[in-house]
Amino acid sequence: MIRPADREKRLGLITAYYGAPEALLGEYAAGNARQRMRTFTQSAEDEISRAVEELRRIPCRGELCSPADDSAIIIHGPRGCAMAGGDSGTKLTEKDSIMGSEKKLRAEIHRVYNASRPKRIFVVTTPVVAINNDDVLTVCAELTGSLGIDILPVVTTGFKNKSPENGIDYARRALGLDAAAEIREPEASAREGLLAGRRVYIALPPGRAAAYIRAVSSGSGGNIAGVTLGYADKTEATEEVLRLLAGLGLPVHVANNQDYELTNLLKSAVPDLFVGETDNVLTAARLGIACVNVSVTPPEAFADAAETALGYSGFARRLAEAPGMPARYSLRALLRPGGWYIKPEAKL
Amino acid sequence: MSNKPLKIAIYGKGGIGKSTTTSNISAALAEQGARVIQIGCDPKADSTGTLRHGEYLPTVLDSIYDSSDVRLEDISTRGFGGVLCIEAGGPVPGVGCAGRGISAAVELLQELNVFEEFAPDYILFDVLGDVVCGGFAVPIREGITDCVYVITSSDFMAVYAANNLFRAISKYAPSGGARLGGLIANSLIAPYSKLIVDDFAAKTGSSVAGYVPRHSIVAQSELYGKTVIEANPRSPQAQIYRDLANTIAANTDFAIPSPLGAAALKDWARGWGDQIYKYENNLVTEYEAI
Repeated sequence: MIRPADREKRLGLITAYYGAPEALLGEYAAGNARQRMRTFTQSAEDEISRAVEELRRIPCRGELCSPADDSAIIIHGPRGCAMAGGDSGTKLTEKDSIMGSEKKLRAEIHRVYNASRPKRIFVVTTPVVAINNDDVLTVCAELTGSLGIDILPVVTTGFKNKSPENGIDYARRALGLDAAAEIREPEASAREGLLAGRRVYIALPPGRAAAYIRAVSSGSGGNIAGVTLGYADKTEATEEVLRLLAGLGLPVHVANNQDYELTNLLKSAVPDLFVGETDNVLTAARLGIACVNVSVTPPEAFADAAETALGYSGFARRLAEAPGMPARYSLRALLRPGGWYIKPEAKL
Repeated sequence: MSNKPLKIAIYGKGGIGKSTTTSNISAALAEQGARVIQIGCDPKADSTGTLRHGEYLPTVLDSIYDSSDVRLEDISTRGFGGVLCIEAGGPVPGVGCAGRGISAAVELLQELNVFEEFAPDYILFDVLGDVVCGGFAVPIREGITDCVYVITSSDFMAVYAANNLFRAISKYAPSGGARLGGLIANSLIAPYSKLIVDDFAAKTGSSVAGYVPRHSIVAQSELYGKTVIEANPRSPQAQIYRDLANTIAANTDFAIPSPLGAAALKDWARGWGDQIYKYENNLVTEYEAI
């Protein structure tokens, strides 16, 4: 199979939940974790851009897959899909969607090959190609033979599942690697008493969340004010986070970059410190909360970064109060609970 | 004729005789002096072949693909009786999206003002098989055609396809889509074939515009690359097509059909199966059974 099974099927992954962690633990134990409906969803990263990100990140036969390392990424789709971040695109038009896109793909692979002589070319597919069932595999196989380099298809659709995490698996499969089931995150640094009396909100994927909850609470004496998981699944990391939250009597929020939900939850939780990745950190910073961005802060530097952020917390407050910082939501909208739009089911 | 052309879509199961019937209707109307456009909406691009003796005709989609400046003369040719023949065309088998192609071809014809400039009396859209996706429903959506004729035989799969087409018509008709002109009963062989189609029409609130028996003269004419109207103009089969064309030209009674549900269609088919079994085995007389 060129495309591994979706994490939703393989790992019971869900991206929408707000409520008791015990209930979700029970669902996973019974093997029937249900995806909730989100009746208001804000756009977030998708599997295609995550696949491209992963192709840049994971080692490829001992080398990094980036343009600097003689790899090229072609986004095989319409011009708008170039936002996914490849090195070039096939810029499909309506004509190509009618008559098939093979010709354009062959031409683009040849163009990229002649222009930069990469050692390998990734062809990342998009919704138009998936809907039309265009034959990408044959083109890649034929040109691998004729050009003498690896032309590797990354079969993403952008619509067959809800979690961008699947993009990681598709990228790995393109390289002949196993789909990533669970990545053990390195421990974040802690300092005894650093966060004593401080309320900390954590918004991260399960593996990272577990590591930072440990660093904040048992390592540095802080109090967990709330947790947003980017997703939940039946891995040990999710189970650990859910058990920790159950022990603290806190609900769990599962959301992939849902700014409105996070804003509401942060308004209620009123944390002293926020720990998250770039997109979520921006949400917290707009509210005047001191932040540690783990996308740019290595785990071993966490304690120092937390101390710095708390030491200069006035900076975040002044940033939020700056005249040029517009309110993103009306006061009325912010009166709703953070999980207001997450429903057990919805009639459409 | 009024200035406003009658725009007709013809649908039906694959292989039921849509192109043959449509071309003979076009030829019959043209023979009477009407200005006719026939547009084949099928990637195979073989709808108008018998009107133009199989001569090569570039398709609309091939022309769009090859050039951004497409003119009417690039994508059309005059066939028998001056019928303006156009083929939408589409991708080669197994590639691309034919449904989107139909949509794009119709859009281009509108942009080229074909319907205004040629000033036709009749425009016939001969559409591929079943309405498998939104693209193939384009000719019956948003006022592109006035009425739909569905070709069927008495075979169950043809009736099944007709019932599916009725579902598409009943979906779009209330919001300005084409209404049903009627069924065309084609390839009738068995003595009970006509009765089966009549009964299906009665059950679905539709009517039958004409009955076309199966005849070797149709295949023979096609082998010569012609319609029956052209190849065998004095044959009874040609007259059948002329009568059908006249019925369609005169018909203004368009309806929204009531397709049968899955269970009702199954029961209806089973009922006819029982009757045909009795008839074929002489268990009852013809008049009692059917």
